[in-house]
Amino acid sequence: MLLFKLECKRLFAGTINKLVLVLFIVSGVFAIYQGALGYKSLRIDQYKSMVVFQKEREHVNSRETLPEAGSLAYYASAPTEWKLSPWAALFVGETPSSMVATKIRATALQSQAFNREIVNPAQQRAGGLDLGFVLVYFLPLVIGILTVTLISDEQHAGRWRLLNALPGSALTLLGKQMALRFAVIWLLVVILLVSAALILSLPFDALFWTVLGATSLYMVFWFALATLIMSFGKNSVVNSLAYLSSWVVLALLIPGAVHLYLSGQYQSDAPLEITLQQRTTLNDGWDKDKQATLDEFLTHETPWQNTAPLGEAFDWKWYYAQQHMSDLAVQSLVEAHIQNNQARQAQLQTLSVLSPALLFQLSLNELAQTSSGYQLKYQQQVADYHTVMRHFFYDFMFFDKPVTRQDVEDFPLFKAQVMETQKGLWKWLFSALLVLALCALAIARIRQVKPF
Amino acid sequence: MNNKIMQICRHELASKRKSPSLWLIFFMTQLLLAVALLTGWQQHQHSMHTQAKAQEIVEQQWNAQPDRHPHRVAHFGHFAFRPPSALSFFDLGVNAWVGDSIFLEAHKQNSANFANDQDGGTLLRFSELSSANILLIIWPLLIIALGFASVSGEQKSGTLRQLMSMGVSFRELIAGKSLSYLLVSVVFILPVFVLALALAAGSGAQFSAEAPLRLTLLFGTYLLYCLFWIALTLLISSLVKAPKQALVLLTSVWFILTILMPRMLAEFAHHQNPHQKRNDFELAIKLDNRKVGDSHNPNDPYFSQFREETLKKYGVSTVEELPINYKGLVMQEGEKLNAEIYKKHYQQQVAQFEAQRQFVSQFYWLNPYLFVRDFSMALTRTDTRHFLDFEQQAEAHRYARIQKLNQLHTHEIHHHNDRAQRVDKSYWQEFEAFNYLTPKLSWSLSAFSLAWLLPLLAVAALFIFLSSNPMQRRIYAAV
Repeated sequence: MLLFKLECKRLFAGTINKLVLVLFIVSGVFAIYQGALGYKSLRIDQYKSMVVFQKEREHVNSRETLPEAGSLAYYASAPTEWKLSPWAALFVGETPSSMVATKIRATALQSQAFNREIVNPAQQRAGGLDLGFVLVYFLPLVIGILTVTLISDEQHAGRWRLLNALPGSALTLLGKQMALRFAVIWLLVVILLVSAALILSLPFDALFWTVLGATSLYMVFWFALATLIMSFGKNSVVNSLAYLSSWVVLALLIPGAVHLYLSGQYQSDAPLEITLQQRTTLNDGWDKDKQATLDEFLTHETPWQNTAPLGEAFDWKWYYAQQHMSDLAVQSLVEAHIQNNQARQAQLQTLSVLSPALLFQLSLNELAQTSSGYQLKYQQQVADYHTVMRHFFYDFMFFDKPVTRQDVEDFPLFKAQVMETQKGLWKWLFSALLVLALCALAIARIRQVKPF
Repeated sequence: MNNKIMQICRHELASKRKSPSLWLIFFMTQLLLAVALLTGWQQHQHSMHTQAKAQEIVEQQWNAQPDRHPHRVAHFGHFAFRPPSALSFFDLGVNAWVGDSIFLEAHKQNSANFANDQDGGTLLRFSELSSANILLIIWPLLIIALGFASVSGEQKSGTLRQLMSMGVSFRELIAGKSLSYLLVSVVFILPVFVLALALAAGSGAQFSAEAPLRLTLLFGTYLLYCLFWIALTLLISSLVKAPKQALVLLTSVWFILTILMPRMLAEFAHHQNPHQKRNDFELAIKLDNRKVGDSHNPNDPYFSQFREETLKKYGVSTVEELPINYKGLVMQEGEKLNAEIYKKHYQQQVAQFEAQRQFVSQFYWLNPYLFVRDFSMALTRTDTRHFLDFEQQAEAHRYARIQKLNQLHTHEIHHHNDRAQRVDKSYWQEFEAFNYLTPKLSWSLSAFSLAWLLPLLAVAALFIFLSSNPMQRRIYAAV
């Protein structure tokens, strides 16, 4: 107990140690606070879109005569939502720069699909500070500052030789010191996570324990790395520099290099090509035989085959048929683009084993369902909803059914599908095994350290 | 005295030269810089090529249109592409988060699309691995590694006492060491600038007389940044007794200045001066447009009044009697109102972005990283301001193009049976291609005015403090 008190005293005696721990807590709290604000604003965005749509619907229904289906469809921008749990406040992933409440109309989908959220790019350039950032990038530095010079400090103070003279006590002491530091940092992480959970009313469910478990594992990795560096028996300065260099490589350079590689490898001008081609198709449609366009459309959308042929006047059903045909004209490009994105994401998953920081960051975003994979799933849901919405209007336009007030009420709303969390059990096991192996190596090596 | 400084400088360089790990780190970082610059160059060439090709295609598509009704052409629309700035391969700035192309059409202002930030939430936490970013974030670490023990180490090993007894003053020691680190910095960062200059010069057409000037200024800015880190390293090395402590403290300061503070400030600035999200922005514009009037509605009060005024102006009683096409006039008026409303809201957004920028710029003196980052982006034309300038140029082009079409509608299409008529295709050749005017250096830097002075003074103050008498006394007392 006395030793424990002394060790605690030593840990908190250094100004820098205290500074670093305080800074860690401050940035963690700041990150949670900002994250909660950001999450609130995106939930407001989603809720407001819903309310605005309800108002529009009431407005339409309060008119004396209802507009015809084609015109109704043209102005009905229906809200959708990227269903996000409050975890998105802590691990923001792609949510700050992408639409979380895309509004969608029955006109061509692909000309609505590339809308982006308005961001201040300077803010994005600065990097953003969510709890994920604090855990993935700041936490390792805290660990390093508190641990990596433990042996060399003892050596420097001349105690190491003394300790080694006593049987087994040097390593036991080192073990205790490491355990104390692990406990202190772990406790801080737990405090951050629990307070985040309380603030955001997150349930203490499997996900919470997974995040905590993953963070603990990540901590073990950096502790093991610090031990490994110490086991070379160099002086404090060399140890610190080695640890810092590892951090720079794992946290900064590898993710940067992976980004360069992926950008080069999966570079695609597909969005531009899609837009240009769709525009041409849509425009040329006006000069083409309208009945031919409609007939071709009906071969794809068979339930409306029995529609009457077009007359002389402008007909909405031709308009929507040709809008949909323009989507079909670029469909192969769109599919190739999606596949390219999926391949890119798969490659990122594979490459993320190169750096624990990258792997951990990606895992956190996946757990919070804010990674680009989930963004793609949301976009797929939007596309599916677009089909539902089109089909709703087709009945009126193709069978000349008048729109009633009840129909306006019955307009199908977007229902967010629950997105399954990818089961990455093997990934966790694999990471745990690697970390354990690193621990074993570090411990085996540290036993050999000469009593300097 | 100068001799002593030179000797210290030479000695410091000689001692660093012996360290194999330093050589290794130097070599690796040079390699990294070169790779970053070359991939940046490749990307730059690729997007130059894509953008130019796409712009050419849309111009061709425009010119190849057959006889058409002008309003249909207005809906066919046009595209504006943002050519990457000449030096964006050195500093990618905000490029990853902003789009490259804008669809220009009637009645509606679109935003730039197709940004290149896939997986940004995972991979771009430290922005891209551009040359500028490496110089901004990694190079300071190397300066720290070079110099953290320069005073505390001499103090610890007792060599400081020897030097002092040989008549070397602390000022000379600081000057000599600073000079040696500055020389190393120059040797280190010069190659990437020379390579950048060579690449920029080799690219031919887009290489303007400004590029060397901008590169020189960039070089100067990054040297200032080096000086800041040299001064800070020497200062902390002088104030903290143990080299290890100096190293840990310097690393912590590095983390705060280059990683923590920029993020906190950006988040805070956003919170203080929030801009609208896409849905809110578009809704506000839609509601304002509704308030003004609906040009398609014959009983709309605004447009009824507009009709009365037009009839009065021409001294006729019905729109059919007008010598021009009233529908075209309505289009012009509608476009004008719509563009004004959009501009009002857009300017509000720009003002919020600017307020965020200004909030951050208040801290330039405290954290030169922020200044150098922003100044570098301004010099390479890759900051938010330059992007917004592109959006505004594109909008101005859109407005002019659509209004020109509306004039054709007014003068070349008769009111009667309006929709069935077409104008001759030769008119399409009279439209000028979209040509992004790259801002001049004075414009690029106009946001800074005297802001560069403060970081410069901060660095000077650090050096003055280092060579001040109290500092000397402190060191002498400790020796």
